[in-house]
Amino acid sequence: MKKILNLVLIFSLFLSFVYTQTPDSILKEIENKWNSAKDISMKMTMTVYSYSSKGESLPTKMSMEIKAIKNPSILRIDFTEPALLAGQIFLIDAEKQITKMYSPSTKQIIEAPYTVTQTSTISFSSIPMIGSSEDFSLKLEEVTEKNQKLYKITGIPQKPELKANYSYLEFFITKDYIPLRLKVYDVQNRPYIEILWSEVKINSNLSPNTLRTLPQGKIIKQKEPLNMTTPIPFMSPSK
Amino acid sequence: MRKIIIISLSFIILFSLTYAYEWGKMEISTEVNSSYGQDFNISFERWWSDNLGLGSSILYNTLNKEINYHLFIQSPHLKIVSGLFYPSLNLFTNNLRLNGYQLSLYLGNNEIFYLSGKGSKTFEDLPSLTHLEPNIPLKILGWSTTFSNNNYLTLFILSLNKNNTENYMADILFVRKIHLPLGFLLLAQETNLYLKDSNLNFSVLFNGEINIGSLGIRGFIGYLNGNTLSLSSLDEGDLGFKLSLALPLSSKIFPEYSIGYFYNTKDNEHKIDLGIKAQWNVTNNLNVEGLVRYLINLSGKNYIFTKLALNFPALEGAMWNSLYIKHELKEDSENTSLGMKISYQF
Repeated sequence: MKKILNLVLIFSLFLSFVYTQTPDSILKEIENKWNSAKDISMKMTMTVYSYSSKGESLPTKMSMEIKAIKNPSILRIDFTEPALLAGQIFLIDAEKQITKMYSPSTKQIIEAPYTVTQTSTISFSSIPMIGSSEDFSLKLEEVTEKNQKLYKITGIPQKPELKANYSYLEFFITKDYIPLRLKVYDVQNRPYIEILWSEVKINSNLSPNTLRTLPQGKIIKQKEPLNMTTPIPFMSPSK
Repeated sequence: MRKIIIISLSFIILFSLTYAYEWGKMEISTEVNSSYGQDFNISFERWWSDNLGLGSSILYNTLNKEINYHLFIQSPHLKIVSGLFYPSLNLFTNNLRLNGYQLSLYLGNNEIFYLSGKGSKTFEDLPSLTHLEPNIPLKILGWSTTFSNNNYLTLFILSLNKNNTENYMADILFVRKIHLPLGFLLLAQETNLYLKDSNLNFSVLFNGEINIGSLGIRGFIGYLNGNTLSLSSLDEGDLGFKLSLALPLSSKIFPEYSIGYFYNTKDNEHKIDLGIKAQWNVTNNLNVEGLVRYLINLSGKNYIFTKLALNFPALEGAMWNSLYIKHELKEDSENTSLGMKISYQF
């Protein structure tokens, strides 16, 4: 009987060890979920905060709808905010080896060659906009928000160059490993970057033809790759 | 009868070519006007690559019972255009509409082109001008080239017959395009010499535009000699500028404002050109578009053009269905149009 109890105890200890979640395992789960998906669509909003000399927060917001298919590899981004970018569409079509940009002000579709530097992977192996998870000391806890149980990962930077800019970050993830919100704080513990994900859908049978269909426009082909740098100021936080 | 056979044949060829195309566009429209009768237009084009395509369109007007057509064939080394079309060769002939033909020969980055037919100055969308019969016999011989990636040069010589005298035009256009994040900057300068009655007349135009996302700033400053034939938005003798600014109010409302001032050296007149155009994306399937252009001539010859359109985009915007009303008011005439247009880019 004692032997059996010992075995049960060892087995349950082993099980609890196996199923204990760590911040890295949560990030890995998101990564796995993303990697095994045939297609993903989501809305994403990024806000960068800067501060006036009086300390007033000056947020710069960018919103977009992202749709991605793994095979054929296609990524489409429809910008919805700010107003200056609203209606702008990017398309990376790895199968056809082309990138397209639809510009609403000129009603033109600029088509350019696809280059290997333009990646269409939506990855969570690193923390979005921040860097590798190994550069942070991560802590995991479970929280409840609006009757929904969530994972909350808190990260404190370890590298001196990160410490110079950030004090900590908070990453909220649903129990089925869908990212909800990432908030990064500057050295004065004020919000610096906030990323919100919503309407995340995995394997909703996105059609390659629908992603490739752009609004009407004059097609202009250029030999050099598209410059896809977005003009939002993702720089060091104001001190 | 011969025209109808040619047009029908070209449509049959276009529709019957079923092998993989890169993209195409189809358009059907009709417009009824209080002064110019009803227009019917159907057009179709298909592109198999950047330099291999075919297209055709037929325009029928109930008032003059005329059928006009436009055909083009583009291949890597040759382009043939025939019928009624806008050649869009340079800034000073930007509003030229030609009833004739164009032959273009491509050698590397060079295009050598020859055009012949009857031309007129017109502006798309304005019924009073689109219903004018092109009546100036002209011939154009030109060369266009691209060098150091984004620099373009177009040279041409135009001969035209006006009032039974042969006049000549020589033109140099230089364009530089600079790619920017999410847009581009375009700078153009054009010099034009017009030989009339053994006198050389000089005109010049500078054009610039910057487009980033939904923001667009465009403008030109120029002078068109009073003796030079006008085939652009500058009238003969105009000296002035025009600026336009497309600046979104929100992610749904996209207005564009324009202002221009021109002093006409020929008639000693001052003109102010004001315009506002706005698009409102009410929903994904409803778009409202409004346009007002007010040309104030300080000598009293004012001109107003207004347009209101209800657009119904479908298929991610690749299909655009439009119902519109237009009104043109001049000092001596006015007309109103009601129209419908369905276009599909696939």
